[in-house]
Amino acid sequence: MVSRLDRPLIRLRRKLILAVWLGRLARQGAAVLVLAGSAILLGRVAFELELEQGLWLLAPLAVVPFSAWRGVRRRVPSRAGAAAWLDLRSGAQGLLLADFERHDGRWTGKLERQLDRLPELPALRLTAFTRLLLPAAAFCALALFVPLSRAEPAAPTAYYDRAIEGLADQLEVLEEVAELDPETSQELEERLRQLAENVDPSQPEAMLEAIDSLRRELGLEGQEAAELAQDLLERFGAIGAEALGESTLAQELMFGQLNEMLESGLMTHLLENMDELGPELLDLAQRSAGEGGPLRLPEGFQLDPEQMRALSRAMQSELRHLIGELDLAGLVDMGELAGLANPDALSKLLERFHEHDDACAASGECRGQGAGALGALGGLGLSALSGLNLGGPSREGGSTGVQWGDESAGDPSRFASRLLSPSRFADLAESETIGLGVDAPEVAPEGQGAGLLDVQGAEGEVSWRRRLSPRHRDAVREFFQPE
Amino acid sequence: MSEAKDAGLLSPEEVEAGQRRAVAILEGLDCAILGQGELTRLLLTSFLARGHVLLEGLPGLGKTELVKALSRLLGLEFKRLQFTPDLLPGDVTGGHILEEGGDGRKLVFHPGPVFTNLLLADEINRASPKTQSALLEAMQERHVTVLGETRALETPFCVLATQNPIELEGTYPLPEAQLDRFLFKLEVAHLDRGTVETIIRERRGGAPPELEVVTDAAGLRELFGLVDRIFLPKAVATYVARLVDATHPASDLAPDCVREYVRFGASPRAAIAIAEAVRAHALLAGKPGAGFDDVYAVAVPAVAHRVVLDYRAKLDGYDGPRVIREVLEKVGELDEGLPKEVDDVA
Repeated sequence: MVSRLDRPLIRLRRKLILAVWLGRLARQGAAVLVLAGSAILLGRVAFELELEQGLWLLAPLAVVPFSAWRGVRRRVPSRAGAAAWLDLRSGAQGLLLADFERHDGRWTGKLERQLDRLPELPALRLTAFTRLLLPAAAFCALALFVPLSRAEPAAPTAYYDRAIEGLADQLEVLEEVAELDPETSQELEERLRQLAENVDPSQPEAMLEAIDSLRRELGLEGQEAAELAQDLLERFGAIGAEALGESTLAQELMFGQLNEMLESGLMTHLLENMDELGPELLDLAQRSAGEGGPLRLPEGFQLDPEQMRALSRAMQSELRHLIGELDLAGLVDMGELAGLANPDALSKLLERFHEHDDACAASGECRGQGAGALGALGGLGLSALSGLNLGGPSREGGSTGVQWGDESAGDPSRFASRLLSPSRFADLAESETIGLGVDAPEVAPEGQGAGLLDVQGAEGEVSWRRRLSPRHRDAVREFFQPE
Repeated sequence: MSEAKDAGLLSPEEVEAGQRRAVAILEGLDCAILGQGELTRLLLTSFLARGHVLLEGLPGLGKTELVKALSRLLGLEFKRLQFTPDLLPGDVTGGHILEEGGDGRKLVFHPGPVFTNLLLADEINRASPKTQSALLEAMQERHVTVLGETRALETPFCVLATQNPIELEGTYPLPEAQLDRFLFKLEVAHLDRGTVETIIRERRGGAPPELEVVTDAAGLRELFGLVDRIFLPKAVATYVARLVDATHPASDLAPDCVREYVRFGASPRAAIAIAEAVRAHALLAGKPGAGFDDVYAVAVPAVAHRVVLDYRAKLDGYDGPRVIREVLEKVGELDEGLPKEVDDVA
């Protein structure tokens, strides 16, 4: 016999089954959404997953309703449990339970009256379901649709900008200090402008090649200007020294040099503000600079030796400053430049030359040396005077005492550098220039001829044994003999 | 009992007739004892469940009158036995007395007061444990064995024992094992002012009104039969078992007060007692089967005296009834609760 209790029991259990299934659906669905969202996010970040591909990762959601259904009935009270709930909540005081277990039609009337007072079925906790699902779904949606800003490597525009700025500074220095010819200047400016306008970080090779090319061009111009300035420096140094003697020659040399500068347009700006020229010559130089030279001196115009020397020193100072500017701008490879002549040492040397020449002329002992020293200098070219200040082996006799200086300020294991005394002029006449350089001369042991006994090479060092000449042997003996 | 199980539910007429008769008894009791409605209901419930009752209350609250009224209403024999320290077991059960007769001397068994329907054992805690055990044995076995001869007691046989909660000097508190024999332990509460006023206005000397017999022996037997056939649903039986289990400190259902104050929980006899009591209570309510509400009504008097409490319970103000009330609060009725995905209608 079917009890009237069956229908409410069925309705209650169906609702409970639905609630349990929805709850499991929400929990499992939320878990799948979170996992899928995490996988999508990882895929988009690490593997550049596309939207369509990401959607496939949501495929497990299709299985969730079925997996959620599993075990639902186990979590729902049995019919007896449902009847107990109905009896308890309706206040039936056991009537529903009695009818459920021992259905007796005689109690139908009272049962029906009790069934009319059945409570509302339990409400689903929809809020709990949505509280689970919504955040998970939102996370998944975010993972799918929120655009990811990929961490692109920072475009090295700052590097290019700095490099171009440096090149512009170098060009500016060149134009200001070295007086580039207009065509070259315009060309370099145009190239720099184009480079600045076409900065393209996506083509680093092209950018760096263009920058390096321009840098090389500027460097060549700068090196050329520095070498020219160095040459001028030497010449003015010689002119200043010569001014001690024949002022006429010095004057000729001076004006010749100035004319050359004016006519070639090289570094004429040095002359424009040269107060040492004196107002008259300065005015002349400025007008001549505007015309592109030559310097037309008035009849009988002369500079006295002091004026010559002052002018020479001023020119040298300016030229040194110019080279310094080029060096600061990174346009000069100082290692490639021939050693700068110290104008003071050069002047002193030339003074010694003049003294020597005077002495020779007076004594008549210097054969073929008349203006020998200076003549030798003239033959060698003034640039041969470079490097003479850097020391070197003395050519004096074997009995020359060894002079020991103080220890170097920076390195106690080394001696302080000293300017060695120049060699005797007699050595110059018998010497053969084998090279010019800033560094100490390299001696090939093989060139020692029969004097070479042995050569031994070690790491970074070479030593050799050679037979000493008698006078050198005496010097060594004297050196090592205790006093 | 198995016949009752297979017989199906009682018909509404049967239940109604039984309820009418039981309510008549109840009304008679309420008429005799004023202001003790709960007490009388539980007393009748216990009687219908064929259980014994331990009444605890101060003197003068009508305990004796209550038992007398019950006996009058039911037309049963009533005896009262005042327990004193010098009471002997033979004074309870009866004994053999050597009598001289025409046949010569012979031992004649003189039944003790226990041979009655309703026995009021007054101040049972005053008698020696030996005497107590003699009564308690009779309560349990419903027979008396004297000199090897077993004699059945009357049917129905119900003992209503009383205890005085004060004047405990020189008393022998009933041990827990013997307390277990009582279906209910009822506390006779103090009467309120109104009830006292009514008593003194309507009853000279406190004498109760004359009561008429409500049911005879046959009617009583029928009542007992109906109680036996009251259906106990499985869900209610499960609830009873869970309640009794929850009185044990080691149970997962045990509330904090049980874990803290109970040394020993109720025995299965408590569950049997509740099961019997709820049937009687259901009949009183006119129901064919017991429900959860019947369990609420009888759990405290049926179980409270069966749990053994720790000494700290008294210090913290916990007694048996309080512990059982908390158990009722904490233990849910439904063994199969609703899933968490729904909001249960409280």
